[in-house]
Amino acid sequence: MTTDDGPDLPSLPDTATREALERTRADLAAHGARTPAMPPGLLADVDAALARERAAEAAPPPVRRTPIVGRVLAVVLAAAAAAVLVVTWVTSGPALPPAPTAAPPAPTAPEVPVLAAGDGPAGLRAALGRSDYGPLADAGRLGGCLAAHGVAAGVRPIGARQVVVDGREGVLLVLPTGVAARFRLLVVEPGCAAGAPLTVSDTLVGR
Amino acid sequence: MPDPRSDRELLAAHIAGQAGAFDEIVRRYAERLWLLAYRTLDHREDAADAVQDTFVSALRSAPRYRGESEVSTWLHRIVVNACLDRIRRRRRRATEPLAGHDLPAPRDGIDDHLTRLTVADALATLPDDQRMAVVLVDVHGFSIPETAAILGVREGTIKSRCHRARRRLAGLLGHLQPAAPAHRGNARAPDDVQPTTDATTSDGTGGGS
Repeated sequence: MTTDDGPDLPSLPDTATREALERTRADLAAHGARTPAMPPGLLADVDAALARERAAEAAPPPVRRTPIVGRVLAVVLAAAAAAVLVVTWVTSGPALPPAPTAAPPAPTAPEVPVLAAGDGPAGLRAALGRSDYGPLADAGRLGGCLAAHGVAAGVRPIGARQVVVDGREGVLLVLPTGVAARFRLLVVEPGCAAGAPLTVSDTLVGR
Repeated sequence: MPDPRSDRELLAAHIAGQAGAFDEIVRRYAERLWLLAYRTLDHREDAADAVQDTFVSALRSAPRYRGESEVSTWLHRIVVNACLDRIRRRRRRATEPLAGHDLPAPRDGIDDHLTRLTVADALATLPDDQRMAVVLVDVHGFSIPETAAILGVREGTIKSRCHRARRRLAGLLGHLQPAAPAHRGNARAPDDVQPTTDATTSDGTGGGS
């Protein structure tokens, strides 16, 4: 084990070494002085990261996963059921109608949840972490819409989803409030833009 | 108008659930943490990520803050760990340009003109402990006691690390002739001593991000 001062720390460096070390320290100080200023978007990025972290804290705990034994058993049962179907089809011959197959995939249009005004928790669950801005996908339009609602520049939604609220189509935006586990849920009509807030509902959820 | 509350008061208010208190801490320290992260990493995106991770980590660990160190020290400790995480990740990635910094020291007998490096390049060749010490003291301007508190080691250890770092840098930057052969191998001489505290983990400032 070495001492705090280390084994090669000379007590009296010669003049040349001392000057070299001083020049080195001057170089280091000059290097520090050349550090660029903080990028202008960094604070907004930090705010967004903190909002995501707060949202994660507020999100309900994940659904408890089936124990591994249960999952293995389910796989075995599914395989057995498939085997029975195959045997049935082979022994019965082609006269029988084909075994049912999975339904064709649904059209890819996003699912639009139907919400009741004031149901903040349902809205939060529907939109948190999503980026379905619909008619507000354009950044300029979104910014104008948010500004029309008094949202500070640089604040970004931490969730967005097209919804139907009390029969009215709109876009639900989840906004950070600066308080852990508290969110502003803003629902606006599709035509929301700068100077035209077209608010459907504006509520706070969380503690 | 600036918030008149102290850092400790703000953190206590945040822990008590007061809106905006943590955001005020972010406003106070973002620039300072950015400067340290950039000076350590010499990479804009990595430094920005390190600052972001620092505040997220601080938000998570704030309830465990016990007030044993100043909020400033606590935050700088977290950003140091975030930077060290990134340095280690760079080393693990074979394609990272940092590998190109791993040049022989002047004492290996290479001509001076071949070993003159920029300060950033030279800093990148230092062992992590020396690099952090010399960046905090000579580049960032922290005192020896402040640096010791941030890194969780004794002041003597900081002095030793800084001295070794300066000697090596002096050679790399062309200010010092190659050392005598007797010094070969001393660049990585172990100078780690027992940390003065286990605060790097007890305050939730571990290196994870």
